[in-house]
Parts: sequence; C-alpha cells; structure tokens
Amino acid sequence: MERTGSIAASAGLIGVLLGLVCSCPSGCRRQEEPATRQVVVYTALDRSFSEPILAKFERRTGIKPRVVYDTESTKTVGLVNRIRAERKRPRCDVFWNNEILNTLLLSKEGLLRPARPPNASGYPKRFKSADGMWHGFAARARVLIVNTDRVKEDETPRSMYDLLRPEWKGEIGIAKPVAGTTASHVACLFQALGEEKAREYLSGLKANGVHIESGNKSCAVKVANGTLAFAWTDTDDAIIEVEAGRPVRIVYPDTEADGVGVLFIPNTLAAIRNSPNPREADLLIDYLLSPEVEAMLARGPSAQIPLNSANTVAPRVKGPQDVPSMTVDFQKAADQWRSAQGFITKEFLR
Amino acid sequence: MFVRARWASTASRLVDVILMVWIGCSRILIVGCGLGLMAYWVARPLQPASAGEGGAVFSWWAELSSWPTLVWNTFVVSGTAASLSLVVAIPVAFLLFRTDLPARRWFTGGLLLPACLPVFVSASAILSLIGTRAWEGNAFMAGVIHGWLGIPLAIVLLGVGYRGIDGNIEEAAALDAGWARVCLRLDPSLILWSILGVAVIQTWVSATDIAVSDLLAIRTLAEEVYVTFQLSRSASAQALVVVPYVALFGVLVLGVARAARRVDLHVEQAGRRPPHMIRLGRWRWPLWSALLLLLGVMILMPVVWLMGEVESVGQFWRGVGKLCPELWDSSLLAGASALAIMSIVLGAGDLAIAAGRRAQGLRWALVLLLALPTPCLAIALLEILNQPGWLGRLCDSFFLPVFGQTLRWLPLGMLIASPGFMSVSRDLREAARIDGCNLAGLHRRLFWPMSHRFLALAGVAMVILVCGELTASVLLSQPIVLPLSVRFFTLVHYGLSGQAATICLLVIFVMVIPWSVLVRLLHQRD
Repeated sequence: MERTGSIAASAGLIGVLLGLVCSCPSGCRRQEEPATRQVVVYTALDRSFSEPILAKFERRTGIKPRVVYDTESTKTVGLVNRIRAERKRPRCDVFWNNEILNTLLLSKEGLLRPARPPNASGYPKRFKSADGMWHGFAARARVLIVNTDRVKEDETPRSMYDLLRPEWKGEIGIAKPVAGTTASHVACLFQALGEEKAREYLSGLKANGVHIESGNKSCAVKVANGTLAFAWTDTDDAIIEVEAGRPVRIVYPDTEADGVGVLFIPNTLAAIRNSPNPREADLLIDYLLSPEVEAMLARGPSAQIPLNSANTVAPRVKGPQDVPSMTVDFQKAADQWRSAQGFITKEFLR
Repeated sequence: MFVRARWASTASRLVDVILMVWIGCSRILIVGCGLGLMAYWVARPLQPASAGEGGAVFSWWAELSSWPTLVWNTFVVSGTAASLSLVVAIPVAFLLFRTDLPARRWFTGGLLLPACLPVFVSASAILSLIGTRAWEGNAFMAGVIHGWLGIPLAIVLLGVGYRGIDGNIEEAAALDAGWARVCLRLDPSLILWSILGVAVIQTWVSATDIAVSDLLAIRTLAEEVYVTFQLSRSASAQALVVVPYVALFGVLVLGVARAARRVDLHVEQAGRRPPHMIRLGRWRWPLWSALLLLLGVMILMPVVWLMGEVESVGQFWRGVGKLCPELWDSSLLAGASALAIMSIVLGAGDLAIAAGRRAQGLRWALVLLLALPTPCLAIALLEILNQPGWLGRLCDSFFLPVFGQTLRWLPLGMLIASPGFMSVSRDLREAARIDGCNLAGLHRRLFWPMSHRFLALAGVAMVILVCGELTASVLLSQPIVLPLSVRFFTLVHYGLSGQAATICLLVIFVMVIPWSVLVRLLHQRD
C-alpha cells in the first residue's frame, strides 16, 4: 500500500510538473527565435489550401506566418468572437475571412485599422472599403444548385422568386441564416431589395416549407442525393458536387434584365488594430491580394472567382464579368444587419 | 543508517509539504474558477463594448418566450439519451463484467472503440441509414442517437460499478432470494452511483452538443448558445443564455444528491470480497452471439463505412503522413489536459465527496463549471487572461488551451473518479488519522491507491473528450497549433471525406493502446 501510495504521489507530482512545463514550449521557442519575423493570421480556409500560399510568402519575405484555423461549418462560434475577446491585447495581425459581413461588423466596432497595399489597386471599388479597412478578393457566388433528376430542364428555376412557387413546397433548402455567406446574403438582400421586400421574400420562403440546413455544404449534398430538389448554396460547395459527377447543375439566378443579379461574396482581408506585427501584416495583405494568389485559389477545389483585373486565369465558375451581379453596398448591408438579425431570429429561430 | 533514516524522514516531510500545497491549490482553483468565471459572465453586460455590434436588438420578452420550447426539446433529448444508454448498457455491462462470457475483454475493447469517433461522424452514419428527412425536428430521435452513441461510456461506468460490488452482500442476500433475484433487484441498487453518473454525463453531453440537433434541425439550449454568438448579439443576450443551463444542471445535480441521500450508496470498499461471477451455462453462446451482433452494429458498421471512404491503402498512409502534425498537437493537448485534470482530481477528490460547507462550496463550483457553456468559458478566459504583461505571455503559451480544456472537462473527470474516493470508508480514514496520518498522508496512503482504477478511467475518457472538442479548440488554440477536430470539420466542409475518414481511423488506431490498458484495469482480478 505504502509503495503504491508513493508511486501515485510521484505520478501526481509528475502530472503537476508536466502541467507547469506546458506553459514552456512557445515561450522557449520565442526566446530561441527573437530575430524571426512573424505574422499571425486567423483564417477559415483549410490548411491544405492556405499552406502552399503562405509557404510561398514565407520563402519570398522570410516572414513566418503563424496561422489559427477556424472551420467553415456552423459547429463553432468562430474566430470573429476570438478577435473581439482579444480586443484589449490583440494577438492576430491579419484576419482572412471567407465572407464579408463579420469583417464589416469588426470594422464598425473599431477593431480594424486601415491598410493601403499596392496590389489593392487592381480590384473593383465595390469589393474594397474606401478607407482601406478591408479588401475583398477571390469571391464566391450565391447560386441555386438543382438536382437534374428531379427538376426538368424547362422547370429549372431562373429566379430566386421561383423558390416561392407552390409546386416546390417542401422541396427547397437554405443554410441556417445566422453565419457565413448565408448571413451575408440575407444582409445584402435587405440592402438590395429594401427591408420590406426582403422580409416578404424570406417570409415567403418559410411559408413555402424551406428546409433550414446546417450549412451550405449540407444543402449541396442534399440536392445531389435527391433529398431536396434545389437549394441556395455557394459556388465552392456546388462545384464539388458538379465535378464529382453528381446529377446537379448550377443556376445563376436573376440574370434576366429585370432581375436583381447574382450576389458575389468576396473573401476579405483586414489588418487588426494594435496588432503585434503591423508591418508584416501589411506585407502579407499585399501578397494575398496579388493576382498570383487569386489564381491559386481559382485553380483549387473551391474554385474561387478572381476579382483582380490583372488576373488572366479562367475561372471554373461564372464571375461578375460573365453574369449581371447584384448591386450591393456592403457597408450599408452591414448597417442593416441589426434589423436583419432581429427578423432572422424571430422568423427562423423561434 | 541514522543519516539515511533522517534523510528519508526529511524527504517524506518535503513531499508532504508539496502535497499539502497542491491539495490546497486544487481546491482553491476549482472554487475560484467556478465562482469567478460565472461571476464574470454575469457582470459582463455591465462592461462597455464586451460583445458584438449587432447586439442592439434585445428584448427580454422575446428571449424568455423561446425558453419553454428550448428547455422542453433539451429535456426530451437528454432524457431519452440517458434512458436509452442505461437500458442497453446495464445488461451489456452485466454480461461483460459479471459473467463467464467468452472473450469478454475483447468485447469490452471492441464496444469501447466507437466512443473515439466524433459525434458528427457516428450521427451522420446512423442518419444515412435511417434517413434524415423523416426525423427532421424530432427531438426524440436526436435523443435516441445520443443515447446510442453514449452506450460505450455507459458500459465502462456501469462495469466499474459492477466490479465494485461487495461479494459478501450478494452472498448474504442470495441465501434468502436466489441469484436471479439478487442480480435483477439487489445489484442495480448496489451500482446506483454508476447509474447516476451515467445519467449526469449523458444529460450533460446531449444537452451541450449541437452536432445531432443541427443535423435534425432541432432547437435546443445548446443551439441557442451558438446562435447567440454567431449572430454577434449583445452582452446581455450572451449572459442570459447561461441562466437556463445553470438552472438545468443545478436541478439535475440537486436531484442526484437527493437520490444519493435517500438510498445507501454502495461503492467499492477497501477489504471487500470480489463479486460473485455468474455462470451463464447454456446461455453462454447465444448471449455471446447477441453481443457479437451488437459489436458488429456498433463498431464494424462505422469502421467499414470509413474504410470505404478511403480510396486505397496508399491514400490512407499518405493521409496519415499529412496529418502527423495535427495528431501530435491533439495528442499533446489531450494528454496534458487529461494529466492536469487527474492531478486536480487527485488533490480535491476527497473534499468533493465529503460533508460540510466547504465541500458543498466545492460541489457548487463544479456545477457552475459544468453549466457554463463552452463558448462562454473560452471567451471569459480570453478576456480575463489576455492582458498586457505576464498574463498575456501565459496566454501566448500552451497553458491557455490546456487550462481551457481542463476547466471544461474537470467536473466530468471528478464525477468519474469520485467512486474511488468514496471507497475509502470513514472508519479507515479515522484509523489512519489515529495512526498520525495528516491530509497529505491520507492522500498518499489511502485515497490515491484506492482510486487509481477510476483515475485511469477518467484519464482515458478525458483524452477522448478533449480530442473531439471543437469550440474551445478554435477559440483558445495557439497559432500554428491545429487540433484534429478543427481539421476534421474543415475537411468535411471541403468534401475531402477520404482525409476526414483517415482522421477517424487514425484516432481509433491510436486509441487502441490506452483502451487496452483500460480494459485490462477494468477486468483486473481484485
């Protein structure tokens, strides 16, 4: 008993010591590498896609990117809340967001600082802020993914209002409009259509038995396996199903003369105010805005749409040059988020 | 000789002093963190600009009016999950731990492996079989899925209970009642502690998880928490989501405490006789076949499904090579967190099961830690600790994610390990005190040796839970550290199911080693 007690005591002490040692690794690393320049990036892009891009940046500049990853699914409350919680002592230098709404909210909260990277000049004005608080690049389009086995060619929806038609009651889907590109979509509808019409449209969707899915990925998968006839999703989720040979097609809605156009939601880059490595952050933002990075993202599995006018890569999905795009003032859309949020909570979450 | 004895005495005193400091620190840490974090969260709305910009829309009435539905759905999910787990796990644990069933160690090991899979994977596998659409919005089905997924952990906890039964009590009862009645009527009351433990853990896991409710589109309290943060709502709204959790877990724990007071809780006691092993006779092989079928459904189905996702052996090994950094990060995080939890449990476990005001305070602190939703806990830690100066430097280290995970899972670790501390009877403690044992001595000579099996069980359970945890991992992990759980969900999002399946298979293979140690401990002869 005595011996076992001593062993247990030793094990306990080893546990305590190990716990104390836990705080060492990064501190030790920091002391060893005082001269290494680094930049901390928060991103939702998967490591396999972002790593080659950031490795190239490191080879060119000698600055080591240290990345915190999020997941795009709705299972987490995400890096935006982390940036908010770190406001007293920011640890992130660059926020690489895969949508726009939360970047604009952070900007309104005063958590971002302006950046003027030279490569930003190649981007259309509507995809960047006038004061340099955020820069959009590599967009995704909000599209309808349609199951070709269930929906004949002549029945294919052409407008977002086709989702309100009674023959599709209970057959359509949309991701939960609380996060990601779907939340941005709702905010943009409030801005582009006007509050009244946007409310009317979303209430109509609900009345037509729209299935609220956990995410855009789930919408695309359910259409591909025939559970749903068609659904709102992003081009990156839709193209995966198309390229996997599933019976689906992508519809760019409202491209007729009287339509509101296709909504393109860019990735956004923002520099965090009072971040520890501001010069390195500016260099990284400039690099990420280069046509080369957009081309890499366009060739990747998510088929992001290049927005830089200097880019010559042929996108695998249609871009703002190919189809009429929705005219949205993203800043105003963010301003209307409070009202949109209240409506979403009341209509879709109660 | 004299010098050696003096050295030994000095060393022993030094160890005692260190242990006393550690025991004190463990208790202060639990009480301080439980009460402190909850107080911080309640006071947070008073601080300027502590939440998102989108928070102006806040109506107390609108918030409160949605609670009945949320509470009811959470209640249905948790109640169904706990009931189903117990109904299936009690007979299976009995067969595995109290009978002469052939290859019962292998069965135990096999049945435990599905616990390593993320809830999202197992739930998706089940829903792909039964279809999602028919069950959309069905809270009962969400509870059934949670209950099914919770069976492995329930088997372990109930197995520990069955192994801890005193053979003397059973044999005395068998003289009057016969073995069938003893097993059916007496044994369940003797393992009541394990049953209550399963009920609490299952309730907690199913009430706080959003994977299944998200797949079936059910509104629960857990989902409300996530939506509140996703929508960047006001600090008041964020603080308010904590209230129903505290109420739910407070009621649950009070109920368990009342149940525990009403009945005489039997736990493994020092000096007891091992329980009687039941001979199955002609039922041996039919029951063996039935368990084999259960094993097939529980483990082979998801493993075969996962193997189907991996295109080739080459792709699997390539995937393993790519995932090595994540596996290392997750192993380090899970191992360090489990060690920290076990160390704190070792220091405070005796007080958690004691009577008196201090013990009551410690238990309430644990309840508050249990009730604080993960995003609230992680954000509070970040806001409190991420300050300029040494605290900030501590935040930049590996300490923060380990501390976060430790606080997240500490109450469950304490619950799993507590039967070990309860097994030291009051008589034994009094005798040790009369012999001159101080508190450190009691820990070294009585509590720790008696609770090693439960601590090992808690340790393995903590490793699994930390590995699968997502929210705190995203909010607290250091730059360049990418936990497997975060990578898994991102890969799923991008449709890279082959690599996601590789993660699951990898975790299963890695967990075989601690599982086999655990199974050996569980089936150890007394």
